[in-house]
Amino acid sequence: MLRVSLKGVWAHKIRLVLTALAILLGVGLITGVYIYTDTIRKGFDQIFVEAYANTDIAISSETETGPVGGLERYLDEGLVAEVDAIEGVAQVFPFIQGQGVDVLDNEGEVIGSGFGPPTFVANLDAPKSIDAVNRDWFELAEGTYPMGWDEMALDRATANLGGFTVGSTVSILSNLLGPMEKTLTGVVTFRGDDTIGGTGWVLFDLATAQEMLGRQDKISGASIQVDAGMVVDEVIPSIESVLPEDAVARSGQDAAEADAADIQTALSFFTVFLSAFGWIALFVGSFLIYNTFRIVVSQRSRELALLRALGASSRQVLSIVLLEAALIGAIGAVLGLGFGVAIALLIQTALPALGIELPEAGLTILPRTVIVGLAAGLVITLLSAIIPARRASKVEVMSALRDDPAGPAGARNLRRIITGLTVFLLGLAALLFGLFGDTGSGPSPVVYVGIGIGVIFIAMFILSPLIAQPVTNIIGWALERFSGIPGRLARRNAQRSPDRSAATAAAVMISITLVALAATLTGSIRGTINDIISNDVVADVTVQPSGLNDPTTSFAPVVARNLADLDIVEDLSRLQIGFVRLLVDGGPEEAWTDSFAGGVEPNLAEFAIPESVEGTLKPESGEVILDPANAEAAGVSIGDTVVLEFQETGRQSFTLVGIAGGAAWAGTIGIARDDWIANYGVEQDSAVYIKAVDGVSAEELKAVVEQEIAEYPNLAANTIEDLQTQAESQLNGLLNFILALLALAVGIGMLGVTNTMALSVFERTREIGLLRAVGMNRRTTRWMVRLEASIVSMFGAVLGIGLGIFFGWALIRALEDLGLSVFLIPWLPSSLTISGVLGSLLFWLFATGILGVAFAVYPARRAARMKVIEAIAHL
Amino acid sequence: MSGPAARAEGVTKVYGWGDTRVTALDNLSIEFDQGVFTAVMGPSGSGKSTLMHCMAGLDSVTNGSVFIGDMELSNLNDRQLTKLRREQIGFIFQAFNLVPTLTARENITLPLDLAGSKVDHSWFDSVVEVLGLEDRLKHRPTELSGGQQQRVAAARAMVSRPELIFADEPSGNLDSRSSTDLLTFLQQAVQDHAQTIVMVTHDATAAGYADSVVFLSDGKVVDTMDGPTPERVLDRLKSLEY
Repeated sequence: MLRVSLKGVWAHKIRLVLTALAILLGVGLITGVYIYTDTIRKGFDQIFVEAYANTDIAISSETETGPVGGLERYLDEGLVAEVDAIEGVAQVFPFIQGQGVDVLDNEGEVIGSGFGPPTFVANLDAPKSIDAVNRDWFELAEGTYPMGWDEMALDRATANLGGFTVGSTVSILSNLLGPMEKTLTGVVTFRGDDTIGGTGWVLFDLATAQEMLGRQDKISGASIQVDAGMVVDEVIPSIESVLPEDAVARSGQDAAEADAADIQTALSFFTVFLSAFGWIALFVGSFLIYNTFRIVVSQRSRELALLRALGASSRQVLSIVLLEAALIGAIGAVLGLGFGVAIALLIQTALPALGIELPEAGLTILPRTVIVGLAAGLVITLLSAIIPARRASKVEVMSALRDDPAGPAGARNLRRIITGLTVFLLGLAALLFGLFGDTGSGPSPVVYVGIGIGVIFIAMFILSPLIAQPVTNIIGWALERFSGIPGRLARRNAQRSPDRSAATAAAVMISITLVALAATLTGSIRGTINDIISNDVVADVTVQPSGLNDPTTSFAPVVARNLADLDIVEDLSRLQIGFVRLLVDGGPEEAWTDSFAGGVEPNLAEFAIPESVEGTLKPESGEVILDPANAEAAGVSIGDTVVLEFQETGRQSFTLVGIAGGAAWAGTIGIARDDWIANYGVEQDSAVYIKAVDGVSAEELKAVVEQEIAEYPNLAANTIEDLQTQAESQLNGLLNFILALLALAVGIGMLGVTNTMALSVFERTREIGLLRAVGMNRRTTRWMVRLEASIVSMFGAVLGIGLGIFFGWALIRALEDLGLSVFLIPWLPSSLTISGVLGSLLFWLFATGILGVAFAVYPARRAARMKVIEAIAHL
Repeated sequence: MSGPAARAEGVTKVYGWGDTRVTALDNLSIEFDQGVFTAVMGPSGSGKSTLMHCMAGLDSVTNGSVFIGDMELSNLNDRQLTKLRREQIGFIFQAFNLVPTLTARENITLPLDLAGSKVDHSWFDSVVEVLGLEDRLKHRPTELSGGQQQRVAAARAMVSRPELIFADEPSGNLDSRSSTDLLTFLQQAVQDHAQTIVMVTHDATAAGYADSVVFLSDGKVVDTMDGPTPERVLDRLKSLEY
């Protein structure tokens, strides 16, 4: 039986290649992502192990990682002396680390800005004894340890980028204190490497580092060495006894593992997000495989019936087809693993070229990667082939041998409608439950949404043959107008087997649905932002950190003070943004939600107008305003007490005085500026809104403000038009990124078109020979095939765009709480740029048609090159 | 009449190499006169189908020349051959003559549509009327009987007024009634419109409708017969086969 299968595979080599290719690409992407992230993870693991090599015990504040990064608290420096006094402790090395300083190059530009990893501030103190190193992380490669306010050290990569050597004067920009100059006394490396993941390190002695971070007398933690002969585990309890509640003491090894686990959490998002596109590709591929097997089984029904007539049982026929599927799946999966390694190597070479250097070990291929990759390829091929295989095994021997046409379509159509609608409603229920229902403690809503979308795809796949006729008629009619006879033949061919055309179109549909969903979401976000910026922001100019930053990025308060002194400025309002946690009423500890929050000034409402207001917008000391979503989550109404947890001061109670909604409204939680400074520990601004005096235009004001902030290359002054342009380009970047990842799925969907067309051309050999004999030339023959591919692809695109718009609408309704107020269907390009055009649905409709032509080049050529007499003689 | 509608001069056609080498046509010369219904007969493997394919520009010859009118086919490229086939030659095959996705009307006008030329409606109507296809024009081939299908194919061959029509066993799959209808029509087309028809057949009854019969054997013309009757053709065939 294996021999029959092997011969079956060999007899249809194109099918083998294309089916295996679909599996190969999907499995390749999944395993490539696994291999690459495993490699990075191993690299980080090694770094942490080495970083804690000389640390017996590490003290740190307890880190709780939440969706927005969690709150890490600073500890009192006084702990150092207390711990040092404990019996068995030999030395304590305190360290502090944070962000808030940029290094400027000789042109005054920020080094390593943009997409790159952040720049950190930390302390680098001279070792107190010869046999101890300060922090195992750094080693001083050149020069001396920085001492006092005027001295600093840098990592070698940053020093090289700025062209600094020991003794250079370096300009730095503090988010607290503004621009200043320091003398470079030392350059550090990391276990021999110039950089660690591309991060920048600005190093001072402990006191200076504390001041730079605005955390006088605070530390992030400490490394401890115990006396010779002491057992680490015996010293830890006595250290813990002096620590505050939210700090921990761990052995160096445990600390390394904990740090590695944090990285793992951060990386796993990356893994899940990227490999999702691999699974999408496989899902699309499964339709290709299903369709291929369906066509081949029907082409071979006579051969299979002959096997039955010769005494093969229906189970044997089933196994023959499934065995073929398994062979192809296995070949695709094995090659996919190889492709995965190639993808991992490609990312590994591409990222450093983009300025992102991550620690790496040798390529790490875990057994899990191999198992998941092989199983995915094999299982998906088998699942996709099972329906065609069952159909083959149930073939009626005599009717197949006689080549009878199928029975009446009416009864089958009714069954199809009932099944399709049932499946659709199930999918819709899952989708709506995920979007609007209360999932409680079950799986996250994303799971329901994903399952719902997948099931709706299957329902569409079941139902689509019913509408294949009218839709292909419309598309085909347009093509026939345009191209004449090849268009007419193409349309008729596309309609001769609605099942086949629909199954082929389904694979295109899925990828185009996701493209249309991405376009609709970004289009709607763009619409919302434009709506907000033009209607709800009434400032003439805003000053904010430039580039892509998280909203908590801040700058020195001196900037706003200087701006307020300008004659041209009528009024301004400062805003501080950071993270807090909001206690959900009466809920368990896990019910704390991380949220953006801000310190606001009473006049903010004159610059940024919320869409809905209840109560006041001017919180005084001890008062808080919430957005409607958080107010609902916390179960509070005006006059109630709201508990917030801050990084520095822990839990504090506020009285709710206002509920304001709308994305223009700064942050989601607002308290008085003085309360914010008291609880956050430092005074910094995140944004400044400015209004010009009467008679001065926004552009004029912007020019003056730009001069004023010239010393701060990390700040930008923007008019409302500038903000719109920036939002546009950021959204385009996001869309392009998603489209790049979806390209693979689109490609596999189109490969399905190639496959169907190749098999159809083969099936219609005699007919093509006849057409050639009665005078169809090669050109027309080619166009007949290409246009059919085009019609089927565009049929898929029509379904996909329809579904994409529907999913987009549902998602936006679900995300209304986040302030997405506009639902916009981006039929036309938003601008005549490549990005603008890529976001347009009509573009994708036509692009799919053109892709259909392109992907049918090979089958079209085969059709055109047939020898006429051989084709006519073909049966 | 001005010269033959088609002729072959010293045509040799060889398939394969070495041991599998087969000479299908062996230095064969023949003329098909205008306005004449010629039947080409011979036993299996005599080269009659190969001759038709070569004459129609569907296959190339190894040696010699083939002319349709004054046009020598070996000088033509694929595009010119295609144009020749749709403008000057009509085909009727034994079976699978029609494109299943097109209606009868569309099948009939296919060569004209491919050429982008206008349909001569009065000619179309008279051909359709003679063949009795008026009320079948909107049907697809699967909705037509075998005889109707072959008559649609005949109409397609006629509608572009070709120089000549090649028919390859046109009645081979038909019952005797349908077969008679079709052959009578072909005969009439020759009589009424001076149409040139070359029909390959091994059926003596069919050959009886032709004006003349050419007998092939081993790739050579071995005999011709004018004004054939089925009985005379059968007798001649017996002597050829043994």
